[in-house]
Amino acid sequence: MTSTNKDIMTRFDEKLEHLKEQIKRPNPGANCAILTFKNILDVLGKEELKSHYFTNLAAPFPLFGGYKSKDGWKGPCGTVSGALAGIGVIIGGPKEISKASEVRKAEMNAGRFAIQFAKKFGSICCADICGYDLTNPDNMMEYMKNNTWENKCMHFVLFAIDQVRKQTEKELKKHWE
Amino acid sequence: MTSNINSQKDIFERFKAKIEELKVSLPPYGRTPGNSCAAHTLTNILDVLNKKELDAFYFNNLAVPFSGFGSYVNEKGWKGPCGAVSGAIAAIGLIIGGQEKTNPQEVPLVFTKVIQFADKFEKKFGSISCHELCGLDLTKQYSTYNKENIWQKKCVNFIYHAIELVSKLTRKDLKTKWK
Repeated sequence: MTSTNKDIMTRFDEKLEHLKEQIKRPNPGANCAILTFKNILDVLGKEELKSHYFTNLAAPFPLFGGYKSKDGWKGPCGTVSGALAGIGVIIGGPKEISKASEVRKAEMNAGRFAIQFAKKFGSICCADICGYDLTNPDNMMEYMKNNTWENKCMHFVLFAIDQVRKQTEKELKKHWE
Repeated sequence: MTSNINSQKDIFERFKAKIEELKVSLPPYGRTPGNSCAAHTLTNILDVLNKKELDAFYFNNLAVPFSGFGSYVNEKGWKGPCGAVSGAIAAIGLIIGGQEKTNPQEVPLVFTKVIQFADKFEKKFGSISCHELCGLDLTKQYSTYNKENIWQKKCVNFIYHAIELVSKLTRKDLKTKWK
């Protein structure tokens, strides 16, 4: 747990340093959406954000990342979904996002995050950036064999947390210091 | 987003009542700027689940960016998913997890339910992507969206259907974990 006595930017720095080591080796069932979202919530340091409900609601997003529709549409990387949820919590701060301007700000930030993520990794789609269609169990074996988590996916998580921090700096200082 | 539907005991009755209630309350939101389909979907499902902790405004807030993500289009033409779909997927995870952290043995079940949800939603409406579903690029055509009442004509139906589909797909978990 990140200390809430330090300023919020330092807490993000420490979290990212810690995660670089901690998530290097994936534990079975490692979930990029949970890792992204829960670690952002952890930095925010509020007791009520430790609820298992936040973990559970993020759990399906990597699976949605594996979805491929009949017309070829592919689901977004779970890390992106976890980061978007984090952006909403940060921007809302201590109250419900209800005003049009706040909704707009949260939505614009979602778009901005997606643009930056795609710029860095070339795509938003799970299958494109990790290189595997993970709905196929054979591909999952390849994913493991080629250390794809260490080589690719953990870097999506680290980038996403840092990017959320960068683009919500103002709200972080205002609501979460 | 709490309502009186929770005085009814059976959770499936509560889901039905919630959808009926939304058919009246949701369309007028189209006249209000700052409306999030993802937040409506997630928070209304949480309302049916009827747990004090799920009333927290954080659930609304975390869902709001997913509506914005729906408008996203990248250079290769990939379009963001409908916010109602993202809100529903979060709800599926929360329902299957129940009152503790999701049991790792149930992760394949979550996977199956997410894929089933996406398949059925696509079958019903023809797509998962916000652009395809509402027929507009909302980063450029938001005024058309308002003028042509797309929220009232189309988007509310995605929310009703997403909520109903979540209740059907998670029937067993709703019965055992959310009595």
